[in-house]
Amino acid sequence: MAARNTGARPGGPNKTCQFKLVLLGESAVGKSSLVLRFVKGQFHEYQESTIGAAFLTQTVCLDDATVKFEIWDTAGQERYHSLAPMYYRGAQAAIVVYDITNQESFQKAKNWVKELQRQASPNIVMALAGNKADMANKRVVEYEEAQAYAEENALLFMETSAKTSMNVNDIFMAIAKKLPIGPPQGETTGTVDMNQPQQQQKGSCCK
Amino acid sequence: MQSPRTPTPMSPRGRSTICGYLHRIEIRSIGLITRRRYWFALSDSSPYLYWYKESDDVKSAGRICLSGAAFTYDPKEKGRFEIHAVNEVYIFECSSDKQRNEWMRVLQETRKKSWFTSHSSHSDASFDITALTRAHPSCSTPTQELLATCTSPVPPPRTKKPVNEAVEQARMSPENPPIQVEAGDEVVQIISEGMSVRSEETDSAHEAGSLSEWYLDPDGNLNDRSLEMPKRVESPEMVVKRLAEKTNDSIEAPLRAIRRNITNAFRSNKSQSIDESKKSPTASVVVPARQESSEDRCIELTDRVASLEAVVDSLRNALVAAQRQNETLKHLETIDDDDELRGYLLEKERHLTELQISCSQQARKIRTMEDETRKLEDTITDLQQSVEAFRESVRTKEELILRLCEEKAEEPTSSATSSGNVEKLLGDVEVPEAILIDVASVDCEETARRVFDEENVNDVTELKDLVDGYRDQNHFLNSEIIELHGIVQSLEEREKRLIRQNFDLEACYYQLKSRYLMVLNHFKSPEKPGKIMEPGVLRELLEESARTPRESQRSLTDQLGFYRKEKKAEDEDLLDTAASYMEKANELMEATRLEQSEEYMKWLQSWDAFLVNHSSSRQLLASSPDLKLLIRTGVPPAYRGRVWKSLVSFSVKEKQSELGNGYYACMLRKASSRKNDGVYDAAIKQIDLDLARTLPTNKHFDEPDSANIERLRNVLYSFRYHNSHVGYCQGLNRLAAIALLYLDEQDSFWFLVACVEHLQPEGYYTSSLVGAVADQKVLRDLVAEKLPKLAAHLRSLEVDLSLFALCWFLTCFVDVLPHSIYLNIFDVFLYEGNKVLFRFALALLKLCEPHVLQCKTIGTVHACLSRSSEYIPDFKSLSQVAFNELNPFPQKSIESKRSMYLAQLKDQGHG
Repeated sequence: MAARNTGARPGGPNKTCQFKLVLLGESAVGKSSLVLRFVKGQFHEYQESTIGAAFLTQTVCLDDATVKFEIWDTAGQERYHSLAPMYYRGAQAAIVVYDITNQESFQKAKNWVKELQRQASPNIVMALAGNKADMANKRVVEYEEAQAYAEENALLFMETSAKTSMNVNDIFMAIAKKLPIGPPQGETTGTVDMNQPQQQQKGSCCK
Repeated sequence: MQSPRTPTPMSPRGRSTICGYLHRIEIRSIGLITRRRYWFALSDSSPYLYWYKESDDVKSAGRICLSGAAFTYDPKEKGRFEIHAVNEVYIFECSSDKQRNEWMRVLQETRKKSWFTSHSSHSDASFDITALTRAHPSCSTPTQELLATCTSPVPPPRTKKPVNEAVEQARMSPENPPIQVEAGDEVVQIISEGMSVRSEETDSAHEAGSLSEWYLDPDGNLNDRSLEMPKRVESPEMVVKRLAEKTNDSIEAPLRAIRRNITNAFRSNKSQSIDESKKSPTASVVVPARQESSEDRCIELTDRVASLEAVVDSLRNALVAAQRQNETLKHLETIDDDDELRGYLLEKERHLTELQISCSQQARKIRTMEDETRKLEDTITDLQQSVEAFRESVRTKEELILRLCEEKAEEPTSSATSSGNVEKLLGDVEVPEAILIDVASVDCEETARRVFDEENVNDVTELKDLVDGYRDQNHFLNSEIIELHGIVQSLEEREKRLIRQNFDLEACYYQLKSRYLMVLNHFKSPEKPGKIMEPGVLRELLEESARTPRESQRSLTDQLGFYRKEKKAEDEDLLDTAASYMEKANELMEATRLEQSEEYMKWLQSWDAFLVNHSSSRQLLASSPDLKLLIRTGVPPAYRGRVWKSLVSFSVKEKQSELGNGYYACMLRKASSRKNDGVYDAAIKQIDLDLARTLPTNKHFDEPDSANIERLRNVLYSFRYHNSHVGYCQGLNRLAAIALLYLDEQDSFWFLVACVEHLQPEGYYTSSLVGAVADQKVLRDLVAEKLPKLAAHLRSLEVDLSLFALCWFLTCFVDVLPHSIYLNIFDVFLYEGNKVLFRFALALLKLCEPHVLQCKTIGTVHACLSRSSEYIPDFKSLSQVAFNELNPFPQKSIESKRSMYLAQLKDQGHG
């Protein structure tokens, strides 16, 4: 699945690190679409709803390391909420997704953040993604509002669009950069650099 | 329809179906006739007539392909009909003509339907099967079948001219009775005594005659030898013949009596004129030995003895007279007196003259006797002539009857009037006016008339019935001819079309080949390429090759509307394109080969045999091992809708009858009224969100305004109001959508009800999914039990199987396996329920096991399991493992484990 990216990976002496990443958020906010765009570069207007969870992998190359994401894309319906701990247990990263055209989904995202803060591993890298940024004319969740919330909770924040692929790779790259890459894989610094959320990752080997 | 179990004909959705017990009559090579009772079923959904040992059998005992078959029956055979198909004639018998007519009607309809469907829709099952049958070596093509039926000696061509034949027969048959009569006369002449013996003989001879020709024997039973058509047709003639014979008999009786008198008279004359030299007692030995049969001689000899006794009497008298004479002679010797002697001589002289007078008197008497005999012989010839005349008149009458029959058949509309004519004319026949009997014996004529009248009354009604029967048969056969003609025409059209197509394809092929050769030639002589091919041609060819796939875009989706996975050659490498085309060609070839394989055909046919007998309106078998095995082979796509419908209604029939017929409509109304009231709860909202996100790989669901989306909404809304406990759970949309691929809205609703409330255990789709979670724990235990190596490996890497397997159970593998496999899983699931999900899950894991065992990290195991479908080549290999390699698989242990884990989860506050 990650053939194109791994194929383009420079065969240097870089170390490869694996990280478990989980996507959470309300139903139909675009979790699966984000993953699909990131992993396969595809977008389907009507992405099939996820039952339980979907597992995908993608590799990104940083300057000095290769990061392999094992992505768990979870189901959004409230009913599946009780299964979520199964998926975020032991995850090193999480993307909480909301739909900028849906206030309720933003509220739900806040709940997810709370739950992760409370129950996920303490060093988890969390990102907040305001998806469907291409539908700005229907926006109900203001960028500033979300940014303020992200800063408050020390989250990475980007508005993304799986449809236009805006910021999709970027948010994963941003997460990859924040992940503790080093010999002691389990150890993380826990520092969150809030100064570079919008940084463009043109140097990435990924598209 | 004649079944004792289903007394009414079933015609759901205009389908004509018929089933019932019939007798199959087989005539074996050695003339043995077997008669077996089978359950026959016929449905116009299949071009086959199947029969089963019992009414609820899954496997059929035999079948006939009806496309190209011809049907016929004989009005005289009660309830019997024949099917002529592929050079074979099948004879069946039902209990009444009415039932037979019903069968014939459905048979014709089925044949018509099978032709209609095979031409209109190519996806239809009947087409599949007929197509396959054509491919099968044992079955010839329908055209051949048809030709065979036409050339083989079958009734239709015969029955066209039954009257002619009958007339011919009529012309030939009168030769026989006179011979019989003559023989009878001989017997009469030879035998003077023992009338009773003779009459018995003639009676039995008459009986034998009727047995061979007449379809009813004197006891009113059907005559076995009358089964063939031509003999039945000649029957009116036979009636007349029999009458003639009877009349002959009654006429002969007085004749014989007269003749006997004559012979007796002759004999008495003879005995009187016997020479005196034969007076000795040894005279009986001197009777000339005749070259007669011993029996005749015996009778003759007894006659002789009787006459000789009379002679002996007279001889004794003569002896007494002679003795007296002797005495007188002795007396004469003693007297020696002239006067006395003279007186004596005178007396003797007088005696002599007296004797001479009596002699001449006797001679005169003989002459008169001879005259009398001559007269009597004349009378006999007169009588014979009159008999001949009568026969002639009967023959003309009978010709008249046959002509009328013919006319009647020709104008069935004016049947009433023509039958009146027939009655009138038959009435004429009743009066034997043509017989010119003026013999003195009045009672002879009387008996003849009585017999005649009686016979006529019976025969006329029989004939009338027969005429009706023939009229019906003629009707039926006419319709047969028209239908068969239609079939022939459609076949011809199809043949023409196919030939045209074939030409097109051939042309295309040669075109391609020539270009291919051109290109090859171009590269063969590289030194002067420009001269062989114009520079632009190659580019044109390349462009053309890029165009072709778009022409065949109609095949982008399969029959169910799922988009095919297009491996788009993004780069312009020609070799890649060529390879992908090659692959496509191989796929097509493989699919064709598979569909033509004998195994595939047998599978289709076993399903056809089952479904014809178990149409949707009949109750499905609750637990049949045969059916279970059959369903485990998967349901052919063409039959899936029907099978699913009956499986679903089998699951929910109690609920359906409890909730009533209009329940679905009621739920729909409820949903729309709630919507109008502005109720928009989470479930409805989620349904709306998911509608367009259901089966996006299927063209029936890929757009929000696709036809099926609206139906899906209706089903899910209705279900939400039907089961407010479950409401809506993501995943149910998948189930409903898959149901909608095969079923209508209402049935899809019940499909969903069956899945959620009957087939899956409780709590699978409720707010906390507790049932599904508990089943994950059950699965973990089963994996440890059945696949211990895999379980240990997963445990060592701390892989949680339920991360993957949960959705296998919630959506019956819709999310992991291609539809070609999961549809088959649904087939089995609908019959056997949740337990098979465990079987399939374990089978899936077992097939993945070797790959998983190679993975050394949790990440690779996850990756491997997420690709699990790649290790499943097809449903067959999966079901092979699921049903054959995991046994024993007791339901009880699953249930006990489940209840244990459910209790555990509830304790943890999960429920």
